[in-house]
Amino acid sequence: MNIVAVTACPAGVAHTYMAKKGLEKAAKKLGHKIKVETQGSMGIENEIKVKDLEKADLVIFAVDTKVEKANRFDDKTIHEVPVAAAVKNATKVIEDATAKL
Amino acid sequence: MWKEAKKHLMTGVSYMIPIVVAGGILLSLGVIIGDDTSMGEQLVNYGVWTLGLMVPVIAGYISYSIADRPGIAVGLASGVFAAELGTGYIGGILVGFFAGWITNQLKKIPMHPNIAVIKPIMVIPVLGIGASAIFMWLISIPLAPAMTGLENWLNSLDGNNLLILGFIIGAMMAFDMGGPVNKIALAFCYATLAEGIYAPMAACWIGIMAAPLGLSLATLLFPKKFSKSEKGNAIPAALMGSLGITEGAIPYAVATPLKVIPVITIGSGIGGGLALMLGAESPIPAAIGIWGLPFVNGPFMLLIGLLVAVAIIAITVGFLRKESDVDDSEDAELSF
Repeated sequence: MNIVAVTACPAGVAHTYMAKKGLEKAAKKLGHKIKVETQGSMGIENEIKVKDLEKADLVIFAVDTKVEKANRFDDKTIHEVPVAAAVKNATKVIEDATAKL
Repeated sequence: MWKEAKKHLMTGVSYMIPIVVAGGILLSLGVIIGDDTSMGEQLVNYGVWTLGLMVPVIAGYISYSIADRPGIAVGLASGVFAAELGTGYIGGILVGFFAGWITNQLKKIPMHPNIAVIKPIMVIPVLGIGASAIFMWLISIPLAPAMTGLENWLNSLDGNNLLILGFIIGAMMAFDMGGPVNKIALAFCYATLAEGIYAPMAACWIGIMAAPLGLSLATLLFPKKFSKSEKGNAIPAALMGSLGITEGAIPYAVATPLKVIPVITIGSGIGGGLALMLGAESPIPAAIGIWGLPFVNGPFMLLIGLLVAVAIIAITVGFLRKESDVDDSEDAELSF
């Protein structure tokens, strides 16, 4: 399955990137492809582009703050969790998200 | 509802943090050089001007989080009202929510397509800022005296009261290692900082640094009680801790939450309380970790509080953990 995800936390220096790592590891373990965009204190990095979205089956938001340019994802199935959930147990986040489809 | 509100508040805080760090450091550099010198005086001025953006920015970006782009102008202006009317940070947060809400209502006004263009450049800013001005004026009637009262009360705290204040802040900062509880305590410390009350921020420093430092020290003191990946994580965690990032403690809390979270909460609380009781104060935000130590008032007192907290955490976690807690087979999913 092709997944795209956005991570963001208030300070934007640690949780954002830990959640990205967690999601990438968990996706690999479960055999999914994932691209994770971070919205930290440096702004948007590894941005999810239109061509990524065309392929994406599912969107995960692991965020404690507002998602920038959220309208990109309007017609997709979105699974939203606090950023801490993806840090602690990203596998469960992905499993819950795929169960939504 | 609460979840959404928290998200808006956190968005505002995240845009405000860099401003407070920059302003706080300029200000304290000026104080160190001495504000009777022209260089020092200038630095103090620039620091104060930068910090003046704090309340407008938190209001502006709460409003942005709620109402997107049109919310920024309404929120920023409302934040200036909040600051000018003496309601400070709390007023800024409240009016930020109002500004976002009113902007969303104004977006819904039906308009003929030919004149729809004036909606974002005329209708929303003018009516939005006007409505926020009235709202701000109304809430400032009870809020401004309340803020002055809070300020006087915080300034009058001494001895045991400071100990309790420091304990609560230190404990909240450590409790969820950078999560929402931590950010609520941080927001409170920013609020007092904006009013020129510097003690709470000193406890905040300790709450941020003690947990990652204490836990990495524990891996050195009790190597048999930690897994390979936890020991490998000790140096990154200590570095993150010294830079003011509590999140370095998370991998340890994930492995054995009940043997870590209560300890870091209480340990950081004791350290924070102790430092405040000894008279430590921090006029700059706790975002640059140990490197900000030269800029605080009573750096030695702060260091004592920090060391006590680190020692309590390292030793207690070391005793609570058993060698059977070590699980090298399932290496924790988290490492840096």
